[in-house]
Amino acid sequence: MEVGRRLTRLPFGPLHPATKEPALLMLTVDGERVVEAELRLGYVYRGIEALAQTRNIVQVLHLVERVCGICSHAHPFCYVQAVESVAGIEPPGRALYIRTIVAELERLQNHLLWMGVLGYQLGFTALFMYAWRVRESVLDILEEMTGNRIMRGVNAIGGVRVDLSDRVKAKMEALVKDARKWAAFLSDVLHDKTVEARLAGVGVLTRSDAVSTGAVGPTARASGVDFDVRRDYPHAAYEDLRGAFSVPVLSSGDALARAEVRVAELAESANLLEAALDTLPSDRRSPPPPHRVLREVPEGESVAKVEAPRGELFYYARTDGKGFLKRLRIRTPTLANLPALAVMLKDVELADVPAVYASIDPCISCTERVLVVDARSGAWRETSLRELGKGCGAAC
Amino acid sequence: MLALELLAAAPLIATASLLYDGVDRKVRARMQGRVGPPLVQPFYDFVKLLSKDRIVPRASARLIYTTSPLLSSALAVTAGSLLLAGLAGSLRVPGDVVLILSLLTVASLLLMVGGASSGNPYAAVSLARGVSVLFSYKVPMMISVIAASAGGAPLLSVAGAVELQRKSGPLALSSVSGALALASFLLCMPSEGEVTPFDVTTAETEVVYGFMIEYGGPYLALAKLAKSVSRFTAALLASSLFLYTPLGSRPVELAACALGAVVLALISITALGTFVARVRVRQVAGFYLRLPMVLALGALAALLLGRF
Amino acid sequence: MVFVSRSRAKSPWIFQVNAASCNGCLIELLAALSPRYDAERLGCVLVGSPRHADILVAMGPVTSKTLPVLVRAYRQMPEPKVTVALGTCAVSGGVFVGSHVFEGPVGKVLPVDVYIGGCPPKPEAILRGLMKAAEKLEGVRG
Repeated sequence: MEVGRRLTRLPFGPLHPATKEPALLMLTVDGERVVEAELRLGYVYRGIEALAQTRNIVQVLHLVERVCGICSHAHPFCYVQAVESVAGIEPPGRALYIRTIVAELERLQNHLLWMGVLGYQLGFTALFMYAWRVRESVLDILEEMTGNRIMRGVNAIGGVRVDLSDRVKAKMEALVKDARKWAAFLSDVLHDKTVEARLAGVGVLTRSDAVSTGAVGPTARASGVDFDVRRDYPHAAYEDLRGAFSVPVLSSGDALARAEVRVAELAESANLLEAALDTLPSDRRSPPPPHRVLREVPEGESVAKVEAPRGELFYYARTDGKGFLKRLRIRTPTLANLPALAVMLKDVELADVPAVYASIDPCISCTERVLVVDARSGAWRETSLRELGKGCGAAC
Repeated sequence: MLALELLAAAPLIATASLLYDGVDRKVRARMQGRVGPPLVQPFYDFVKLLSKDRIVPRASARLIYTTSPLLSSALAVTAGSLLLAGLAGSLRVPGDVVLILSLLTVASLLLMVGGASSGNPYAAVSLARGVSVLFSYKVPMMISVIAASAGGAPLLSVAGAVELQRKSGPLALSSVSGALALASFLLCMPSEGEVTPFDVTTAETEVVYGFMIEYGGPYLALAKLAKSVSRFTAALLASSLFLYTPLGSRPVELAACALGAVVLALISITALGTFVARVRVRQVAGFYLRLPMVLALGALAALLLGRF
Repeated sequence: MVFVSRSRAKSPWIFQVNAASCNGCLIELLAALSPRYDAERLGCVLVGSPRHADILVAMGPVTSKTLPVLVRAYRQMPEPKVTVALGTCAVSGGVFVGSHVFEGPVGKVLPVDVYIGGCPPKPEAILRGLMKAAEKLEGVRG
């Protein structure tokens, strides 16, 4: 350690109001400057992938829904696609559309939730209150449609568990208009002077860093990486809706760009919803009953990916032909984004840590399910130490 | 006689401060589209905290840690009581506005030092931040107050400033110097009250309440009381030095003055804090060295130019 | 004395411990603070330091790594305090029973005063549970 510097160790977590979820960001600060950031995970590790091997294919659907309470549709959405492709089941077109519609509603509520969290991190409580107030109307529709606000259980292997009534459809059409208004308003808020001052130029992730750290989702798109699973690997109804939306990409790579991308995605989700509602097919068909699914899924393996609100979500499933899984592997967007976070936190001010941390929309709960993660994050931690240890004797 | 009056004024200023906190929380909630807590919520909070267990962290410097919230709130209440006595005309000492501001400064400092003595690293960061914020806003605040009360007799006293305004109307409306000084003072008020955008010392998401992090129960109750009394005293000081309106009878004028304090605080503390994001520490010092400092110095210059 | 116990019921400050929850309960708890439900009208605010809190809200199936965190937060809170187990996982373990890191529901680790079931419980249910907890605070001797 250099002489004459007073370094303080600040444990940012595991119970810190800025992280909410238990994750420990061990910061070494020199006055207000972060000289080293070390992320210690494992608090939310629940052994989900190991558990998945002890439950049958249909039960696992409910388990993966509880990987994360915020993107509780993306996980089963991805999982059923993997299983369906093993079994060769073709869900009806209407079911694919309903999955897509719920996925976009989930993106809406997730991005609103995230805007609120960002406001909270910046001490801008009114933004939190606004975003969470309008988010309620998305949740209302989801509740009316599926019976639940958060754990909606929409997906079933070979179809969906719920149908879309005309009443709900009309409400969704109204929601589309509202969502555009929210996006316009939130875009104004982001360009408010104090908000902009806190976000612009903070936690910059260059395009090459985004590529080399393997960032995904809005985090990567804010750094100029033009990639979106919905457009580039279309699944469900996204194939048909390709022309209905565009993928917002920005190049500045700072926290403000990440926020702007998410706000732009609000409007794009509204476009997608509108188009999906317009062209909703009418082939209502119930999914096959669970006992048939368990009997009919053969031995095999498959992968699937969807664009979760936070980025690319990847599932690998290997079935044993007896209704169980031999292996389930989940790669969540946050896991892909954490190395990018380490780059962003390099040399930031302590005051910016909450905003930068929030700007990748981390979901620790998503990230920590696997035995492998502990080992991997250990390996990753070492690289991050080297990257972040600038000026610190212990790492250099 | 004065001692008795100060004793009577102490509960008055404490009650008024807590009541203002209630107004602040209610108005804030309404601006965010919520119902908000009842007006008397701060009293519930205060009593509840007083009745809770006292915990002293093992790593703390026990004496400083336990006494500083009490001392700090006592100083803040004294400052408020002195202001009330000055307003009522029974305290006529030259320089009492300077004393009031100094008491508030010491009260803030004591609280930070007390919190930092808990040994918590966040409290230490908060102390470092707090000292830099304190010195950046106290200077323009002091200058603007001096500019406002330099014309009265006794010199630099609340009573003097009030008498002057009873003769010639509210200072901020009757002189350029007064208007400039008020603007500078209003910009300093959010820092005195430690609210967004200048709550860098106690920001929840950054330093987890800073020096308040380890305080719980009665210590927290007193620390919060000290904060809310400082906040309201600053607002009342602004209202009485800059906007004291002659209305004929003194009780009516005092009531108007208190109302003015609430309005000023609602503007510069509540409304401002609701609609902006928190700034960075570095930005706080930079901010106060610019606009408020220029305004305060401008007020002083205008005053001197008017003299000659 | 009546005013003291009344104040406790009227000012329940909550500290949340996310003991490996999937965030579902956490966001519903935060939703309970948002304008539609507005827990602050009941005096209920979320605080970031256990030293300030009256109610510990524990969520999630307690895992071997969150167990010490949860217990430590509980110990850091000044008396009188009550504990709320929020959500199915905190009540029973939910879908995570059988996991090799599952240490048992919150009730096995801490004395729980109020259980709020649901996966996740709706904000209305959370508010009701918090009010039950506040009533308990009123009766607790400090």
